[in-house]
Amino acid sequence: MADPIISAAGLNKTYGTVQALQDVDLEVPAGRIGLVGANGAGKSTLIKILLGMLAPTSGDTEVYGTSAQSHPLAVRSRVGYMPEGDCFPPDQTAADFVSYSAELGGLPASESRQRASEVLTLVGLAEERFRNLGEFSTGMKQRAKLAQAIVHSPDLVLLDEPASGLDPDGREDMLNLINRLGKFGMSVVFSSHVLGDIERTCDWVVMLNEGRLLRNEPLETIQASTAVEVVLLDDPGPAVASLESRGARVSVRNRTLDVELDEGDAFVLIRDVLAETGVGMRSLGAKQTTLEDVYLAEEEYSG
Amino acid sequence: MTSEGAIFDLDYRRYEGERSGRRKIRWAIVRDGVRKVLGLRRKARRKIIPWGLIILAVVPAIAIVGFQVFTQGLGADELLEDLIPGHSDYFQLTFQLTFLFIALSAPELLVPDRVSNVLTVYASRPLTVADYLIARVGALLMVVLAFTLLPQVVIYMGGAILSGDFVGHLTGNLDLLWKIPAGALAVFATQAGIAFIISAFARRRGAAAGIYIGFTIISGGVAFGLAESVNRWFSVLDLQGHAIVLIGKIFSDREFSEGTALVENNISPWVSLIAVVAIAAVAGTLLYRRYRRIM
Repeated sequence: MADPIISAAGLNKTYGTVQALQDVDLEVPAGRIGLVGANGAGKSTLIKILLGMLAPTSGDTEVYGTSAQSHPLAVRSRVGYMPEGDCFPPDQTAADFVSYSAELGGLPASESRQRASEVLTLVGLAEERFRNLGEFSTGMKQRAKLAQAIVHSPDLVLLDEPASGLDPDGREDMLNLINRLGKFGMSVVFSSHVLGDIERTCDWVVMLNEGRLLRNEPLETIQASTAVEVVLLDDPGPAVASLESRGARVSVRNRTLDVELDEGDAFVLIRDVLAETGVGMRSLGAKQTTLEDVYLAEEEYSG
Repeated sequence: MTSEGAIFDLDYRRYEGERSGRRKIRWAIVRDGVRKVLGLRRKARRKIIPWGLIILAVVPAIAIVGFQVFTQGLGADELLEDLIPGHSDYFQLTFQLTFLFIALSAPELLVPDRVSNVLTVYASRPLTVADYLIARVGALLMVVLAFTLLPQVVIYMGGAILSGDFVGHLTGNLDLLWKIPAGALAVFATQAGIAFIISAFARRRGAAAGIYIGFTIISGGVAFGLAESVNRWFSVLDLQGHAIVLIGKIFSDREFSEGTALVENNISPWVSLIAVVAIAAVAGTLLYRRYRRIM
């Protein structure tokens, strides 16, 4: 891995009796990073610790090689943050607030005004930038939140559930915007419990469950699979029995079989078995492992 | 005219220039605070109360100068000198307005940021809790100083112009250059700390202002009652009284502070000074601890 932009070692965080993060060790490269987990998995806690907004119970985190605990201001000067909830003064216009956010990020006042206008145009709020934030819809607020997170040219943007509460069109637009951030020279940490969103936008996945780290690797590694998926037209019983008798591992969901073979060609084996048993087939192909498959398997495994 | 069109994607322009330090970031928060308090870049109804109070504070000063202009040639200068309010008298005139101004402005600076969760944005930027609080207090200090000083400057400059010896008047009243800001500071130090503490917990601006006004008025009554019936030292609970005593001391105008529980019970002005410093210190500590927890 190239130099990690984020690293954590022995990270623990407890709130009273609740263990929000448990022995998290990770190193994450630059790029678009998906932070995946169910509600309460510890995603927001991890993001706040990376910003130095929360102190871990034990362990340390570094962002661009700087400790977020010892030097939080140095970290924040390179990072933008889009919180999950609202964060706007309702009586201020989007242009004023985003411009002010830029100044808070260390940009000169004149430059801030100009950039606020540009960034609001980029997120699709050019027409609405002089409207009060209190009058914004959920979708517009999400865009404005993204604008305040990127207006000061951070190297890394932490997005906490950026697509939550959006309708399908709004979600689509937000995911496209997130995809574009990489082109602007920014790394992105995108937290979500919607696994499909992460698959569409990220190239690296950090998977959390109940505060524990399940996976921390490239998306393509997670999705890689040697299994073959076959969808049958008839009762799969005879085909399954025949495949298993020839050393294949088979998992069955209704009439869909996932077939894995340690040695030999699974496609050839399936062809032979179906010919022998006379079971009809609807489709055959390499299995596409989704994040959901991996998440559910990991969740089941970790108990 | 051409039939060909082109779509230009403005894309994203990275900022490569130098970044400001915390001092400039604090200054940005101060400017934002001043705009909030005065309702600038807000809807018109947000401007009514602050600007109404400012007009109420300044108009009498302009009227005083106008009255001096009108009566200048009447040959009744000695009589008029007693009638026309001086600087300490004007503090008395504007004292309750300043009190009201602080009561309404402190919540404006703290409550919306907290209730609307804007603190999350501050917390994600390169600044500390102390930076935020110092800047917010600084914003109110700037506006309150301007609010208090503006009418005083009108009277001071009016007096200088009307005296016929502009430079002589200015140099003859140099002490006012420290007395007026010191008086304004005394008002601010006594009132703002408590107003900020209440605002740090209240969820509505109106409620914060109401609680603060009620608390201050009640403290005066309680101070009087307990000082009379239990012990004279209870008069130190008269919060407004401390500012009044200090202004009286600054302007060597004992009449100004007569009627306060502190003067009635022969409490030294030094006690008021200590009380004001203590109020400011305790308020600052409580405010910092509160915001450390929520920011």
